This record gives sequence, C-alpha cells and structure tokens, in this order.
Amino acid sequence: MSTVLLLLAALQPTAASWDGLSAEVIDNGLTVMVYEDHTAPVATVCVAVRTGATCETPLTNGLAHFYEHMFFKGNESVPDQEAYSRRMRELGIVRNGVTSDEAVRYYFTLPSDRLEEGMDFMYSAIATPLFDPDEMEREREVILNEYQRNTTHPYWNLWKAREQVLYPCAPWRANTIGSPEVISSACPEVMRDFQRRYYTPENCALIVAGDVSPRQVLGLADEVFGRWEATGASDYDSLEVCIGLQSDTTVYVEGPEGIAYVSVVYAGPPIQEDEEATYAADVWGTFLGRRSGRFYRRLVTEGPFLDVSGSYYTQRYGPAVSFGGPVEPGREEEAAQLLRAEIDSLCSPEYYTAEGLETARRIMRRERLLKAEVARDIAVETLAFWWVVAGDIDYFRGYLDSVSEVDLEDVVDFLNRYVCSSPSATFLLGRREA
Amino acid sequence: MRAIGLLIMLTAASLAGPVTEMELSNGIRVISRKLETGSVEGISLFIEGGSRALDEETQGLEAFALESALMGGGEYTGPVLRQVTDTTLAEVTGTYNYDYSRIHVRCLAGDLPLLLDVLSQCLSDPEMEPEAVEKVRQSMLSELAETEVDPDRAVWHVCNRAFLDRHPYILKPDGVPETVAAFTADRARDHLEDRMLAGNLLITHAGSTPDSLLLPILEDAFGAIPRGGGDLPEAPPFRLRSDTLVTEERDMETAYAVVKFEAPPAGHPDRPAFMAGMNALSEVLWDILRTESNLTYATYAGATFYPRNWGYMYVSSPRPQEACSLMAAVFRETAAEGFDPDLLRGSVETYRTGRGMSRASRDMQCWLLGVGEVSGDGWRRTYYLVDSLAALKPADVRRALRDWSGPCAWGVIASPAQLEDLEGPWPLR
Repeated sequence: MSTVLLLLAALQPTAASWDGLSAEVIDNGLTVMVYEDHTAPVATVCVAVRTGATCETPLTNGLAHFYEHMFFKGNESVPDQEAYSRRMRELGIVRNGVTSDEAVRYYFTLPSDRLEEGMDFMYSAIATPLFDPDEMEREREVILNEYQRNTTHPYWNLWKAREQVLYPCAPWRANTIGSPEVISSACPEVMRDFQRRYYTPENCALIVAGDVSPRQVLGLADEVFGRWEATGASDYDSLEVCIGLQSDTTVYVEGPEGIAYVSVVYAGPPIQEDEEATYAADVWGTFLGRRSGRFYRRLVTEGPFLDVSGSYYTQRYGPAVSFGGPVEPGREEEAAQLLRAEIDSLCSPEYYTAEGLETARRIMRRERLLKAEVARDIAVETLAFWWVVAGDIDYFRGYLDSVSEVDLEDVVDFLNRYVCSSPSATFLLGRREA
Repeated sequence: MRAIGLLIMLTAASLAGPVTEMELSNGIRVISRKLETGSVEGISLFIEGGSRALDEETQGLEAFALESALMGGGEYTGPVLRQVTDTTLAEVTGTYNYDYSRIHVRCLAGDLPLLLDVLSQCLSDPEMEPEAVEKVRQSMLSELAETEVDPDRAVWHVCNRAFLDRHPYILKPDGVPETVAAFTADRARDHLEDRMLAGNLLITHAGSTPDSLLLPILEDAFGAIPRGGGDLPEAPPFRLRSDTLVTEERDMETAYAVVKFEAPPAGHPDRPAFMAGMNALSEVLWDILRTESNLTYATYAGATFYPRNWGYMYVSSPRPQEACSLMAAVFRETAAEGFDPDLLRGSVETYRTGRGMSRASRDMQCWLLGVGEVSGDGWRRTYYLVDSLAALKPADVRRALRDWSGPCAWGVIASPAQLEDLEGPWPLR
C-alpha cells in the first residue's frame, strides 16, 4: 500500500483550496465576494445582513425573523407572492433564508446561465420589499406555526433556560423566533424601520459562488446593486455585548423521557474586543475536540457522556465557551460533576502538550480544505458567517496564519481570562423526580 | 495486494459521462464518479439487506453491529482509530434503511488508503470492546427516545402503523428499545459475518482519485471478502386496502400529519412521471396551504427511492382538519386536472438546480450512484432522473398521479381538541 499512499499524497494540495476567492467593496459600501468553482453549472447568490435577534428589543423581538419571511413576498419587480413564486420557478431557483442571533442570510441557487436575472431578482427582493399588509397578515399565521413547531422540540426547554440564564439583561437578543405577542402585532411600519436601519448596502455583503467569474459578478454587482443607496443608519457595530454571568449557576431543566443533556457555559471573547483570544480559543477547542484526547476519554469512553465537545463559538455579542453533550439518562448529576472537574483540570498548562497543539493546528488547516467541497456551503455557511461576525473578510483570510502563531501561553491566557476564574452556568436536562 | 489484472473495467466513461463501473476480484461492484475539483474524497459501502434481512426480534441489529464495529477493529483498536480520525479529520458515518445500510467515508484524497484499511479491518475483525458496545447501545436508545419524543419525527412512524402493516418495512432499521437493549456483541459479530459477503456489497466513489489508483486500494481493503450473498428476497407489495387514519394524542398547539400511498416500484415505467408529479405537488401545496391559506409553516410532498415505494405528503398546522382535507383535495384536483404546464416545467428546472447543487457533494454523489443500484432501478435511472423528468408531457404526469392514487394511510399527532374535530381519513381519489 505504500506506493499507492505516495501516489495519493501527490493528489493532496498543500495550500488551502481557497484561491478562487476574491472580494471587493463597491462604491455604495456593499461588500462583494466571489468564489469561483466550475464543478456544476449552477451559481449561489447570497446576501448576508448584519442584523438578527441581537438587534431587537422586547418590543421588536421576532421582527428580524418576520422580515426574513417578508423577503419572499412582493417587491417592486414582482407584485405579490404568486408572481414571486412564478419567477423563482422560471429561473429554476432553489432558495432559503436563515435568521440567527447575529445575522440574517438570504440565498438561492440557480443555473449559472441565468445569473444576471438572478442578481436582479435578489436586488429587488432585498432592496425594494413592499410589506403588503394583507401578505403580512397571512404570513403572521405561518410564523406562529413555526413558533409552535419549535415548542415541540425535545430541547425547547433547554434553549429557553439558556436564553434566560446566559443573557439575563437581554434574553430576547438570543431568541430568534421571537415572542408570539410581537409576531401577532407586527405591522409594515416596524418592517420599514428595520429596513431603513439594517437593509443598507454598507451593512450587507453579496456573496456569489459557483460557476461564475469574479469579473462577471463584480460587473453585475456594480450594475445591479450599485443603485442601492447607502444610509449609514446601522447601529450594528455599536451594540453592547449581551452574554453575561455574575456568579456560578446550576439550572435543572425538565426534559422528556429518555433524553438527558449536560452542559457548562462561560462567556467567551467578543471578536471585536479581543480578536487575539478568538484564535487561541479555536486552537484550544480543536485540541479539546480530539477523540483521542483526555477530555473525550474521561467523559465519553470512560464516563457517562454519549458524546462531548468543548468549544468556543465566535460571536460579537453572545460569544460562548461551551462544554457538554448528551448523557445516559439518570446520570446527569454525575456527568455534571465529572465535567466540572475536567474543566478545572484543563486550566492547568500541564493538560496540554506542544504536540497536541500542533495536531490541533494541523487539523484546522485540514478543516479548511474539507470545507471547500460545495460552493453553496462556501457562500452561505463559511463566507457569510465570517463576514458578519468579523465585520470584514480579512479575519477569515488571515485566519490560518493567525492560528499558526498560537502557542501554549496564548491558550493558557485565554483560559485564565474566560474560563478558569469566571462564573459559569451549568445546565442539566433530564427527568426530575418529585 | 492482488494483481490489478484481476480487476475488470466494465463501462467506458464515454457511455455515462464521468462515471465508470468496475469490479473487484471477488465480484464486488464499484461505481465511481470523477470530480476534478477540490481535494475531498467520498466512498460509500452499501450493504444490501437492511432491516428487511431482520425480523421482529432482531430489528436494529444491523445498525447496532455496524456502529459497534466502527468503534474499532483489527489493528485499529478504539484508541488507535480515534487517533486516526483525529489526525485525518475523516468522517465515517452509518445510515440504516429498509433494504440497505450505508457506511460513508469522507476524507482528503491522500488519506483514502488509510481510511479504507480502517474500514475494512473494523468490519472484518471488529473489536467489540464491551464499554464501546455499551456506549453504542446507549446512543441508539437515546436517539430512539428523541425520535419518539419529537412529534415531527414520530408522526412518520404513526403513519407507518397503517401503511406498512404486515409489510417487512414495518421493521425499524434503527430498532426499538426492547431489541436494542437485548443485543450482544457476539450477536452483532455473527450478523456482520452473515452479511459481509461480496454479493451483498456495492461500493460507490466520488472524488478525484483516478481508477488506476482507486482500484488497488479497494482491492486491498475489500478484495478478500468472501463471495456469496445477493439472495435478499424481493420486497412484497404493500397490503393497505382502504383509506386509514391513525392518530396519537399529545398536548401541543400544532398538529403534525403525514399521508402515504403506494407509488410505482423501482423499474416501473410510471416512476419518472410519478416523481415529477410529486415534485410539482410539493410546489402547489406550498402555494395553497402556506401562501394562500396560511395553514402551515411546513408542507411538502415527495416519493421514495426504494424497491417498493410510496408517495407522501406532510403538513404541520394548528388546524389539522382543515389542513389535511385541503391537502387531500389539492392532490385529487391535480390528479384529475393536471398541473399548469409552466409550474410543472418550473418544478423540473428547480429539481435540475438541486441536482446541480449536489454535484460537488461527494456524499450526495455516492448516495445517488448507490441507491438506484440497491433499489433495483439501476444507477443510470436515478442518476439521470432529471433528464427523464424534462422529457415528460403534462398528460403523462397527470395519468401517473391518477393511476397511483390508491388507498392511503394517514398519521396525525394532535391535541385532544384537534383530534375531536378530525374527520379523516381524507381520500386521495
């Protein structure tokens, strides 16, 4: 097999396969990113907007998501939902929209020879929505059904507990689906407020990936999106960090029969305030995620967890360092104790080896190669996420170089500042006997 | 390594674009799709049998056996295996079905020989370390509990109680708590020995590794698997004779509903037209139930890719009586009147885009190539289905929906008040 291994090693690129990425900011402030990949004759067009639940108040909780639904309704080019659907079918569009705490993404994929029409279609939907009151009225019921569906999910109680405990000053900023009362009373005027503030070119990125060329996309972006007027109205960069824990807390959450989950959560570094710590956090998280490592062995192989992770989630306003996973029902307390003891141990520098950290960095380089598989995912998941969270694409571009600089001292520093002497919230989902 | 001369190239690439067919020395078939971009490789091992090769007492055994085997085997004991998957970042995942199980490996090209060696040793000489086996059992039980608790997933099983009654597909590929709790490592090992025969196996590949390198690796990994197998009896027709409604009560604001009815089996000439009809119906349900009637957040329709198939429609709604009766009415009307030709054409184009999106996904490519073969449809029919759909006339689609609108089984999970209002089953013909 060694001959074959050698031959195959030659097939494996040594540099990250992200050479097809180009980015530019056009005159009105819109960031345009292009990822060229000619595997299939399709193109994905995505608009990422820097908004989400984190921009809401108790009186507007759920409106970022409501707005996302209205994107798929009438606009200045297609008068109503029926025309909208008809146009999508004409163009062979597969579409979706996702609202999360800190971003809203709209995206569709279509045959690459219809890219120009697709760009027009996207522009009209993002920049000229009508918010027809009748359409809003109908969509209200649809969203309420989405809310009802969420409440039947086995982990619903856990999600709600996390919002309340991790974001005590502003739980609504982590509640994307929103409040049924707000959904029930939303009107076109509040949609317009959202539009004026967040749906402006300098607060958005246009990402096109697939069977396209940067020149073609940049030309179309200028021509089609260039007329979108900048307002500078977004307050996204001036929002306050909302994750915050004052003291160690343990929360027991009633769960369904047969399901148990234990997690311990800390407030992590906000990327805009402590960028260096985010690199150390990711190297550390990758180190911890190795199944051959002590963390997995103690908690899963030899312990009550069925799976476990310890990682940092990069965010601006709700960054968290989370540990935990599903456990064998009835062993929640034992699992929580073991997990907390292991977290104590990992604050010691002796927990880490230089070799382990080097493996982690190598894994991160491989991860980038593996993530370059499908153009749509590159646009929607990778580029959109990093642009929103970091505020530009430079963070993503320099990411591997930055993590290659992370050493044990950086990891220990990150842990000392965000985990080892910080308050945490422990959540135990399971059946509580009377 | 066996001589490469034993390997036979069966199909030239010109016949089917960049897809080639090959055979290992023991007769295991290999279908490979070349993807020149990216450095990710995908390999799927399809094991024909699935839950249909099991019985009421052993349902779930194949999933249990394979998941346990994938915890370590041969020289790749648990700790060594975890080291390998850590350093390669490879994913080895199992999915379990009525007629087959599939183990899929996703890795970078240079790691392919290593990962296939791992897979081969795990399956042929599973370690079955007691604590690891117990962990697999607990994970399966936890997953079963989650499925049961989540009405969005459970509603499919509720519907199956009627639709799959007295059919082999009623056996659950992931098992039931009683069977999973009772499996032993020895039983799992015996099952693997029974099923890991060349005649039961099919390998599909998607990636850039050329056949000249791929074949020796596969031969090394799987060429020594004994011949035999390939004797799975034909799946019988479904036995549903009249419209049926099965309900389950849960205290929730929204109800969940699914309806299933028999669809053309694999290889049947009506299959493309039926698939096109169900795809288009999905669009119509969205337009009418969601956009016009605001009855639901989620509704769709589709058809399965098994040897024996069904069409299905799904809806969640706080008004299940209205939603279910409207869904059935939409079906009856389209089966009788047909679709607007523009809508039908558009739904085929959307389907084509979806297929284009999946072209770079090694996982999807491996699935597409394999599922047609194991269902008996042949990989070409499944892989090039979109071309068949584009060639259909609206009248073909209408006729297929009308001819296959037989007895249907409904499953509904709803609150007591919602159940009180239900007037189903709602006929499709």
